[in-house]
Amino acid sequence: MHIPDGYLGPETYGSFWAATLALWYLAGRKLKKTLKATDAPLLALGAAASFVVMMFNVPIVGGTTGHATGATLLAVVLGPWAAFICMSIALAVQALLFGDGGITTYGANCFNMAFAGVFAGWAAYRLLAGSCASASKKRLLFAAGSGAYFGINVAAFLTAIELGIQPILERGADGKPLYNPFPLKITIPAIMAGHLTLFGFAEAAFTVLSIAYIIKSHPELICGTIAGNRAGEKQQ
Amino acid sequence: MAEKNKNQKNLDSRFPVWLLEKQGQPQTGVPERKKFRSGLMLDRTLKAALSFVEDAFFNEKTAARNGFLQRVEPRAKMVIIFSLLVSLSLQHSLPGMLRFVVLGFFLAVLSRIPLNIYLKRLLPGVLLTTAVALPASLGALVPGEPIFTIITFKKDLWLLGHSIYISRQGLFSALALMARVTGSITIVLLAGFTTRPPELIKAVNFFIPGFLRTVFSMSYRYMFFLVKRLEEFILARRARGGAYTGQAGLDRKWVGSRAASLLIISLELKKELKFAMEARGAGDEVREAGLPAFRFGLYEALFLALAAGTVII
Repeated sequence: MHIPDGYLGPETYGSFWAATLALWYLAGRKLKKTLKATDAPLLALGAAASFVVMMFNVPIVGGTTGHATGATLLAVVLGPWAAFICMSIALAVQALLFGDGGITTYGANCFNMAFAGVFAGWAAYRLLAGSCASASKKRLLFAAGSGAYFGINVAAFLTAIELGIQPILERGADGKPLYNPFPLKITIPAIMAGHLTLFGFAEAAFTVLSIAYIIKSHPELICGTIAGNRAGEKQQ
Repeated sequence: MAEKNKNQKNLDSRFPVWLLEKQGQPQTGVPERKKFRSGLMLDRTLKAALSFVEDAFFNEKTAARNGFLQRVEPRAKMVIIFSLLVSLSLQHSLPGMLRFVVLGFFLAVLSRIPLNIYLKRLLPGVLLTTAVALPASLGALVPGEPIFTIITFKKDLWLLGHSIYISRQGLFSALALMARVTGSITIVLLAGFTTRPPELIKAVNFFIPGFLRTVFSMSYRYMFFLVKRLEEFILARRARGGAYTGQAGLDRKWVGSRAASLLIISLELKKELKFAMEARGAGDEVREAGLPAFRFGLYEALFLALAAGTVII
């Protein structure tokens, strides 16, 4: 789902850089209200965990594997704004040091995976889990799994749209596409087929099993965001 | 032969019978094929973790070489590289894009980056893009003026029309995508190969405001800590050969629990780090050691001139 450099035209990647910069500013302001400077390790470790979680290969079917993004998992444990920042940092390290995902397309990748993927997953989770304190374990797990499935598919759909609009937006004088040449009728089925049938379910299973483990071993981490976790620390 | 039998007898008398019995693979009741698939999941995860450490180590090694880009100030280098990427994205002609590929290789040679390693990092992205881009040359996907007809049908077929042909516009699009992606990767890789990772992080940090700057620089250090833990999880599981279940459900459960463990470890560690920072008097602002004062000397000017020359020619 990482869009490399060269697939998006300047108008598209420029717009996404602008949108992502605005979102980071907003995230910074939101987090400043709940976090102190000494809470920086929380986000730094969250970013590191996000990076490492993306290394996990999840068994799918027939011996194939796909890698998890952990977007909804992070949103449930850290809160959506913190998860957005953490995933953005993980994506930056991947792009800068290992060439995984582009630099010009970094804004679009952050918007798709770190913002839309996280917030869509989080919104679905909150909608289905209802009041977290009174929800049963099964309901929480169902909500987390559905959120993960929805989140990764929203991110994939946005990726498909951004790639698919390139032949409309960026054409040469004789009508030749200058960037990604495939239209929406190809990018949407090509990207969504795998995510709706395989990767979405793998992400959901990964999130459900991780949340189940956390509920079993550290239940105080669920039903809270950073503010919730801090309240938990004070009680200890 | 007689000598060999004598040695074997001596050996047999010194060791208990159970130790001399031939041992097979641990018996788990799981078919070999399934064990292989399960092992594949662990292998791929372990490979990802090891390649992270290996790549970071190799970047440190090449960044320490006495090459051209290694002498360029990291912040100046990042700004010029980003400008090159933007300029490449604005190119509309194939020769214009290929100039950036040539520049990338030229700088790699000047910076004493081993070309085999450089190509090894470059190839996966290029091959993937080639596989993605080539179908675009077909008229069915990017319609246009036919330059070569592969096959003609007697009647129109769904999606394909009456023939499969390569269109001029499609071929240009496919080649342009390949050239643009190859040029971008050759240039981006230079940053990683010629700058020590902590310096690269600090250079990027220069452009990040306030609180997030501290978070970004800290996160890279913790990545190594967590990758090390991930390696330990996998090696511990591999050491218990019988732990290969071969059942995707149980393997997924293992993956889920280990990912959750890493998150829990992170949150536990965060408490200790927070106390340590507070004990050292960290207040509302955490000061991070940055790069030395910015300089723009001969090497920075040369790099800028090379980059500008490539864009302008």
